[in-house]
Amino acid sequence: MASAPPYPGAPRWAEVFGTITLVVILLFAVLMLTRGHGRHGSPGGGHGAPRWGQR
Amino acid sequence: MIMPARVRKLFLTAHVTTTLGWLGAVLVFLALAVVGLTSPEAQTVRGAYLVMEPAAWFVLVPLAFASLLTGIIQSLGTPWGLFRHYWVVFKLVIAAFATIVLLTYMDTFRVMAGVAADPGADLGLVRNGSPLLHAVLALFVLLVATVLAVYKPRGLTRYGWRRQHEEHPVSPS
Repeated sequence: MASAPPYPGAPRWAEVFGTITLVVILLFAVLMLTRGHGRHGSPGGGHGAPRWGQR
Repeated sequence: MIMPARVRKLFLTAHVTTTLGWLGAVLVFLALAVVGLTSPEAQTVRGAYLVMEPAAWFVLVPLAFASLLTGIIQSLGTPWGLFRHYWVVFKLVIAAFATIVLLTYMDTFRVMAGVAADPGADLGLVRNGSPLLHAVLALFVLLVATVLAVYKPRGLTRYGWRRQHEEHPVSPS
């Protein structure tokens, strides 16, 4: 049985796409860490909001 | 394990329906976000932010999980596989990432609904640009996933390359 030819590498589009995806995920992780879990895009105010269904 | 054609079509139908349903639901949130930011009616503005939380729990979250799950089943049951082709891997990453962001954003929906429900809260505080930004980003990300699914750009992963040559050792590609 002939051995498999060497892997030609990832196509260009996949490299670009992968880099962009990695940057976006890292950005999200940094945002989550710096702004804190549960404050993602929260309106400014420390309004203690009731959970939905408890109003 | 390759699924029989009938089962494959059933899961494909479920995957397309839930994914496009998710996309459509995001469009509705985009409309709600615009209404919340621009409507001159106080009750309409408050209503827009109040309805976002239950709508997200009952529509966005189930559709996101259904899309992710049917996508995984669909890929594992077809020759495409889950980690053989880059376009499938990227679709998986996009769906998983969008679902995680959605789940982390649910608390923001809760806070915004709480502010909107407070009759003493100023309308300027109720209005929030965050849902608009997130809806636009979600729409973009889901459209990218749709484009990947339709065009299926070529490109085998290292794993896919190895598996292809194990299964078809005489194949010239």
